[in-house]
Amino acid sequence: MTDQAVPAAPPVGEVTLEAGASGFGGAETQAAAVGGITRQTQFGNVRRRFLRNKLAVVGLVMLTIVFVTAVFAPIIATHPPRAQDLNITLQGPSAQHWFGTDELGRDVFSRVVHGTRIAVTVGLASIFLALVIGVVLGSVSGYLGRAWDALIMRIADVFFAFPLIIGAIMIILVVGRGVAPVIIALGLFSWATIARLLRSSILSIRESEYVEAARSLGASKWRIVTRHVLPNSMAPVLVYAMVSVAAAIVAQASLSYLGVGVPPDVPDWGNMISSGQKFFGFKDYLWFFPSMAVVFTVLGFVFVGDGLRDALDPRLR
Amino acid sequence: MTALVEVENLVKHYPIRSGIVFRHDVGAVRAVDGISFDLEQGETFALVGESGCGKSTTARAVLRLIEPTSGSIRFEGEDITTAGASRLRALRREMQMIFQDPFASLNPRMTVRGILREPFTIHGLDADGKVEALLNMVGLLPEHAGRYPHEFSGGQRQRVGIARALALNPKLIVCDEPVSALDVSIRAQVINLLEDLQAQLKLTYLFIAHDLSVVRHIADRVAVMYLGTIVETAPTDDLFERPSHPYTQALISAVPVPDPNRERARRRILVSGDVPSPVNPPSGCRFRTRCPKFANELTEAQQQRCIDEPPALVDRGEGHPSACHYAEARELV
Repeated sequence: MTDQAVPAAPPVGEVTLEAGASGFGGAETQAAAVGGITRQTQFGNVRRRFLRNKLAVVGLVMLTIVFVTAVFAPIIATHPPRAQDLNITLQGPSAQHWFGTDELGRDVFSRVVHGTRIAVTVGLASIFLALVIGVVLGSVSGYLGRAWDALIMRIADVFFAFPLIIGAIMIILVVGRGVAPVIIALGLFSWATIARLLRSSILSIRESEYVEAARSLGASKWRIVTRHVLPNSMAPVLVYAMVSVAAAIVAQASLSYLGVGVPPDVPDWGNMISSGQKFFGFKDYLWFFPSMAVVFTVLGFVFVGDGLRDALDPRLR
Repeated sequence: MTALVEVENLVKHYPIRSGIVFRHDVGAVRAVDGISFDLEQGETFALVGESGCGKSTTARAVLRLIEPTSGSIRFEGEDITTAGASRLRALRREMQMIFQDPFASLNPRMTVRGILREPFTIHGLDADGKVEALLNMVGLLPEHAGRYPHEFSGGQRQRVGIARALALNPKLIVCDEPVSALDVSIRAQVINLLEDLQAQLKLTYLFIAHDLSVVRHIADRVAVMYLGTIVETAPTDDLFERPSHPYTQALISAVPVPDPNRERARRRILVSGDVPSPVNPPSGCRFRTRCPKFANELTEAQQQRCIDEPPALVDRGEGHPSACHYAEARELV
């Protein structure tokens, strides 16, 4: 009876070693290990693998900085972002104005800090919108199939036909400029990939034996989709969404740069780069700092997305 | 003994479609092509045959996980092929399934407790204390309930799968190759567990397998399938001692004998070639293209009968039904 009743917990020593190596969440793991039986939860496993990935941890730290900046922007900023002082226009970085001042004498550092709010809000909100649309349509398409599938995938094809920026510009031209139109425009042109990704992973999951087992138990379609199919097919979608936030932030900055994003008085990275490029070659700090803010935020999301992908991959378990 | 399940003339054809704009059927995969059998209360009835012969399709059609093309399935006398959604849901409590691959049949994101509570939740039943009782019944410990499937060995996972099938206290359990994905060392344990549970809970098994030694051990009656049809059916001992269809004889003679002297002395019956496509099965007897008897023993006139006339599954004086015009029981060690 070798097959029975033997707890499959790993040796205590091994767990302690891993916890020590990761440096994060070690105390908790050790405390559990002392109890003799290690609680191996799915979440715990994912977290452990994620924290073992140095780049992912770096990305997490970067994102933490970004979010803290966004939330506490008024406290962190040294000046009001819209305050003009025509006596001190186009001054280079100094102790008073860390990133210098622009052509209207506004503090660049404070504007970059406040720009974080727009970038994070638009990035997260637009991808959240895309997730809602993509998950609903992708599930219907993948699980119900047939005519639904054909219809939804053809609609997705239409959205695929437009590049993100072009599509967004079209919507903004119709709806008008502003933060909300940008969010809606980017969300509308990002759901198609999410829906496709989810559909393809649902197509394989729905043929699996555990879905068949649920059907043979008499489970409803809703239950099968929400309990069995989605939890097992969401991982690639979530990773993609994480990286999409980065793409949305770049797109948002691009829209502002092109003059069709948020209104020009709003402190926004794209707006700042756009107005800073007039001084390219002699007042480079004007476009350099907002550009670095974009790069920093985007890399943060990409590193975390990458780390999540590896952490969620069951083959690396 | 009364029949718990009566399957009559079950057919499942998968249409092959062609064309993008104007979809039209260009043929059908005849996965199951008119089979009939009965399951007596409390017995183990085995369906055997090689890959692609329609065993699993039959099993799933009996549970109506697959809608049959035609034919009828009666469960306790009630025709369930026409049962509506709500009746079918109620019937799910009476018949359950154990799956082949224990690594694929348990949702990796649910704990064992979640997996075993689900049947009760679905049918609005009280699950208190049931999970522990089920785990105990299949030889696992109550503390295993909090774990995820990936923390178990193949044999332990299969036990969880069995516990899930037992949860609703069904009368019929369809076992779709329940041990073929397991290590040989674990098979006997799971087979014994299935036998103990059958005795304890008076279960009826429809047992799908391709491993004849397992079938000989567990089954009361056996039906041999080939290319969507049953070619021979008999009580287990009778089938193994007096196989009368050339295909059955070939299958049985392929089982190794654990005695070198007898192994060398015995006569092997070999089948040549591959299984023909179920899209376009041979005329007359479906086995004739690979049949050693057809190739070596029959005269041309006799062969013509195999080509023209599909053999009926009837007793030709060999003690049990066999679908061969020239059925003849043979003793094969």
